[in-house]
Amino acid sequence: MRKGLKRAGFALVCAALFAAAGVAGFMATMAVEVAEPYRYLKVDDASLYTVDHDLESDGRDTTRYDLYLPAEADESGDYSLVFYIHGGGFTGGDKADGDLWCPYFAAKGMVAVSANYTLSQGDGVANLNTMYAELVRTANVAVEECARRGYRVTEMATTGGSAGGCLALLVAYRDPGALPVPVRFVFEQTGPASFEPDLWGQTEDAGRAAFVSMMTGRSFEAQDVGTEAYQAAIDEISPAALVDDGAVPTLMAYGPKDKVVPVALKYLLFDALDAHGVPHDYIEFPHSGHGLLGDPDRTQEFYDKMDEYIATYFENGADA
Amino acid sequence: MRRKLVVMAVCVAAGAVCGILACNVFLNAF
Repeated sequence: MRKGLKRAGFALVCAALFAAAGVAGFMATMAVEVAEPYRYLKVDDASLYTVDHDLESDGRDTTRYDLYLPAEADESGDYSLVFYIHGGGFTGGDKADGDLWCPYFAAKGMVAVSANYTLSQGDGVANLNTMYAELVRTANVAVEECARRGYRVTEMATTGGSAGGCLALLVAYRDPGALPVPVRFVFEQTGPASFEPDLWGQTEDAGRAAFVSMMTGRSFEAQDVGTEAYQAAIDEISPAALVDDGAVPTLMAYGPKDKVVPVALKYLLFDALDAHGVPHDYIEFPHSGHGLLGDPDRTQEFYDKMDEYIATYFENGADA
Repeated sequence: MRRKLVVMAVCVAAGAVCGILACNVFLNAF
C-alpha cells in the first residue's frame, strides 16, 4: 500500500516536471521565434535614441503613445516621422510592440511614434472609425510635442502589422489633410484590406449588418444591406476602397497560409493600387501564415525594401 | 535513487521537446 502511494507520488512529480518543462520549452521557443524577424531592426547602441513612454494624446489612458527621438535634436533640421500602429485583431495588443520597430528608425535620425488606440469590445463602441480618429489626433499631438522638443517634423510614413497594418493604410489613405504633415508612404504587414462582410464569411443579411455595425460603429439592420449608406460605411473603413490617384506608395507583405485574415482581401488592394497607378510593392511570405514567421529571407527582403522606401520617398533622408 | 533521477531527467527532456514542438505547430497554424 505504502509502496503504491510512493509510486503514485513519484509519477505525479514526473508529470509535473514534464508539464513544467513543456511550458518552459513552449515559452522559450515562442520568445525566440517571435523575436527572430526583428533581429535586423535591433539597435545595439541605445545612446543613439531616447524614448518617452505613455505620453498623452487626448487625456485618456487608452490613447497614450510612446515617442522615440534621435539622441540629439538638430534645431535647424527637418525630421521624418514613422508612425507605428500595433496589431491585435482590433481587440488586443499594445504599443509596446513598437519597441521592436521604433528604435531602428530613431537611431537612423527619424522620429518614431508607437500609438495605442481604444480597443474594440465587440460592441461597436470602439470601432475602426473611432480608432482612426484617435490615431489621427495622436499624430497631430505627437508632431506638436516633437516641435516643443526641438524636432521639426515635416513628413511622415505609417506602418503596422495585422490590425495595425489596416489602420496604417486607413490613416495614410483616408484623409491626408487631417494629418499634420504629408504622408509619403505606408508599409504594412498582413493588414485586412477590406471589410466587405461576404469576404469575412457572412452569408446572411442579419450577419452582414451586425458585422458592419460592429466594425464601423454605425447601426445597420438586415434591411439596410445593399443601401448606399451601408456601402459607404464599409468603404470608409476598407483601405482598398479608399485608394485613389493620390494614394501614397505602399509596401505590403502577406502570407498565403494566413488563417486570421482572409487571403483574398489583399488582391482588392493590389487591384486598386494598379488601377490608380499608385507605386506599390508586394513581398509574399510563401511559407508563412499571419505571423510571417516562416520566411526569414523574405523578412530581410521586406526590411531592405522598407529602407529603399525611406531613401526614396522621405525628402529629409536618413542616416546610413 | 539514481534510477528515479534518470526518470525525472527523461521527463524534463521529453516535456521540453514536446513544448518546443507544440510551439512550432502553434506558430505554423498561426
